Amino acid sequence: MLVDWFRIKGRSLHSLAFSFHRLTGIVLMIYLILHLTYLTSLRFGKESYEYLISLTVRPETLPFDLLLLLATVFHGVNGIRLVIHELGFVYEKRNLILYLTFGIVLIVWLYAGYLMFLLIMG
Amino acid sequence: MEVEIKVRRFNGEKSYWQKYRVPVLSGMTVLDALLYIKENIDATLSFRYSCRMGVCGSCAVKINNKPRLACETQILQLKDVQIEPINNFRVIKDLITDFDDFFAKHRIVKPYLIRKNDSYEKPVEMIQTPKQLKKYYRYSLCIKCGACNSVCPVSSTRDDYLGPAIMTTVYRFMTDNRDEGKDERFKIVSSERGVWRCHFASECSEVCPKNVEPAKAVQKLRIKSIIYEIKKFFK
Amino acid sequence: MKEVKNVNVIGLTITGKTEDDRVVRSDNDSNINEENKMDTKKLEPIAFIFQLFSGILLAVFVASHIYITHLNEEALKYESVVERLSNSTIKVIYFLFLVIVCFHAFNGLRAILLDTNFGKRNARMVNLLCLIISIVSILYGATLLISF
Ligand code: SF4
Ligand code: FES
Repeated sequence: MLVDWFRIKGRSLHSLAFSFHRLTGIVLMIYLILHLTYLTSLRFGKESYEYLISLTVRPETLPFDLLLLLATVFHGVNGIRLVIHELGFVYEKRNLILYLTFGIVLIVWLYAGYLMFLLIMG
Repeated sequence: MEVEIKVRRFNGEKSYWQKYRVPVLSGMTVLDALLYIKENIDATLSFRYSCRMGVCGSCAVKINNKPRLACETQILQLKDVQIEPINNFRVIKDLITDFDDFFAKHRIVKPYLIRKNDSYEKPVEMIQTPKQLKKYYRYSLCIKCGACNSVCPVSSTRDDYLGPAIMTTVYRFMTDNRDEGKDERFKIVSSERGVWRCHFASECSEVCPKNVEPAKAVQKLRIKSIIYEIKKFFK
Repeated sequence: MKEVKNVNVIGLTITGKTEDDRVVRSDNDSNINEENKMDTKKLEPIAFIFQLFSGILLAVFVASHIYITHLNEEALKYESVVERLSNSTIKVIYFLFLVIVCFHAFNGLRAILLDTNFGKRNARMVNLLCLIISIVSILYGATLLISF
């Protein structure tokens, strides 16, 4: 059953990383489609584009932006971890690397989120 | 000292929790407790075991949400004991799960040495150095307990996926210098039900009671099959 | 396949197939699978390698993309977007980005779908569908790029 992809009870952090990777992958794919559709407004001229921007880039949508940013950062950093392991490297150090991954994700997300916060809140 | 043991039971129609109180001594394993229940409290409780010393792999159950060998888990090291059948396998009764598909998948990958021309009239010695042995030794320790398949997220959603245990076996034979069955096995292993389904959740390595490290075997097997397929492509 | 009767073992009635039959069944299953997937099997390793390397490239691309669009308040203004897009070097880079991201996303979707029993039954359809979606989205994105 599909819920087993997101089953983390009694499992190690590795499963959590897997679940998150899958979840963020799906979210990012949907966002990609939305993003491409959204950019269509560029062709309809300045008004429609700026209208959409004013709809989506504002303080109220900041939490969603931050979540999306988290998804991106996690998928990216965890993806690099997976590439390293799937090519057959440093398998023995996988626990350490996993903790490192979570750490890096957190740091990058907080920093980038802070910058985004500053930009949007003015 | 008495310990309360919660067992997930299934009688063919419905599954429910049942609690038992078992007196424990130090050194007692979960399997010992189950045997105590069967002998003294409830003879209808079913579970599977054989060697009771971590060699046969029959007794894998989920203890406190983690798949482990019942015969190798000390009961006094756990606070409360909660026993369930392992996931991803069909439950037959109580703690007994259906391993037919699991073993059938093993048979598909031919888990034995394949030799091109083996002659029984004029047998030749198969030479292997200790170094060559070391290459696959770890992967040959698998006892087919199914714990790794039971936590694999892909095994749970795709029933013909070979799963970590089987691919570890394949890798074990692939790295054996006496084996000549590469082509046959790659055909199965590099299909959609094989290595391409692994996404390195690596939970299998975490739960393996024998530290076989199936996740590593699968990654290495995948690299092998990439090289093999690409070589074949240009041939 | 031979018919299997009910077998009586120590008071238990076991209905169903014997072990030998199961072997036959499973072997047949695998053969069916082999035939079905002959055409995609060759591409599978290439898809896998591409997924890895596109992933690495994307990490760089996406990071710089987010950085550029959030550089300052001007970066998302209509004029600056159009200005950026009319630069031909950037156009080429964005096109590459587009191809890679579409491949990565829909190959990922394909992997997710094939992880399920649904994907097992409709492997060819899933492969085709993901190919079509990615080509359509690449073409669609390309029309956006060339209109500036
Ligand atoms: S690899 Fe480990 S967990 Fe998997 S079946 Fe073998 S012994 Fe059990
Ligand atoms: S009974 Fe044999 S491994 Fe536990």
